Amino acid sequence: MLLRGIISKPLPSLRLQLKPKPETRNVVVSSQTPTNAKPYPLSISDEALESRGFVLRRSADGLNLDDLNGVFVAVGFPKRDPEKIRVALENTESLLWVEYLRTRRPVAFARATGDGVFNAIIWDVVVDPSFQGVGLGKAVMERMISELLEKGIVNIALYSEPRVLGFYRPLGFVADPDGIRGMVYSRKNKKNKNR
Amino acid sequence: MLLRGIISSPLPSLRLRLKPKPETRNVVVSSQTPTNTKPYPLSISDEALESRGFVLRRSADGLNLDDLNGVFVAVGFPKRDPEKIRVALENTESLLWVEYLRTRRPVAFARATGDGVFNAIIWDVVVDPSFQGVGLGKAVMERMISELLEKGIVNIALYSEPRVLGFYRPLGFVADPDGIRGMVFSRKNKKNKNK
Repeated sequence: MLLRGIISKPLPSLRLQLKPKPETRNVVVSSQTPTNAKPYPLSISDEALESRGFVLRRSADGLNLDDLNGVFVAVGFPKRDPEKIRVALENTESLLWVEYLRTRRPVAFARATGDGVFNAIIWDVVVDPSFQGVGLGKAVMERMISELLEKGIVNIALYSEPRVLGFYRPLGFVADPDGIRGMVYSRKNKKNKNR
Repeated sequence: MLLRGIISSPLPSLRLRLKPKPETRNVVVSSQTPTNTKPYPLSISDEALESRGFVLRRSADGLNLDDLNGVFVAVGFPKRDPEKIRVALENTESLLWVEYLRTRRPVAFARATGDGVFNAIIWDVVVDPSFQGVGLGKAVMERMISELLEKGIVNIALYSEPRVLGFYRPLGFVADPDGIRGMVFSRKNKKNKNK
């Protein structure tokens, strides 16, 4: 039996509904890649990084996944199966890493998943603890954001631990905009009446 | 110049770090697809839905994107370019929709993007306002969660508007677990010293 119109308020989508802004409205409607006339500024150039012995890499070529896993573990991730990391990276839309030339190892990393058009989520932003404090995290994030903006993606989001909210804010991230909340599924929270 | 160890606390990844739980630790380390012996329970079966004139669809085949766009607009989305929707769906890992047999049109929808291994984000959960209140949103969400869990994805997240937090909680979603906050990029929030 179809019950029509029983709920007074429609269930809105959980997609973040940004209030339309002039520079994004065309992005939403137009099928052309928007030309973003004002480039996203970088705090430190590729050349400056190179002069300090760091090279920015924009693909997984040359990225040793065991070394990457080592950085993940060093910042407190649970150890992950490198094979799973490999699959995850294949399904990742964008990734950036910083190679320390002296050792050829990754010392910073970030990646983004999404649908390539509307939404992107940035994950796994890490800087090797021995290399923190010199701007590598910011360098990676700025380039990631720039790349996503150039693709025309207007909804760039992430999940931040409380203690690094201050890292993301100056980059342009706002927590809980319009009261939107990040939610995560947890099996033990599922109300299961059919036990 | 390399400044070593200058930051006292490491920048953790922004990936949501769930406290390791017994049923997930093996998932993180093992390369096998975990067998989830306890199936995710459904509130309403496919058969029950069919008896009411609704069919669950698990691919974009037969999904009219103009009709889908119509549902998006009906719940308050900005109107989106159907071509962009098409590209987004091609880059979407999972999608589910409910077809109303009498009209052959979509009346409920949800999709998820991610890396196929670790993380998935659920987007665009919508129910046509004329069809709300009969459990279609819950039907779609439960099947989406179930599908993602069966793939072995342990981090299933979403962004919820404040007024539908109560829709997602009984499904097992928790807002800001461990103080993790959803953050969104906004160009005008970017502190730009190089204006």
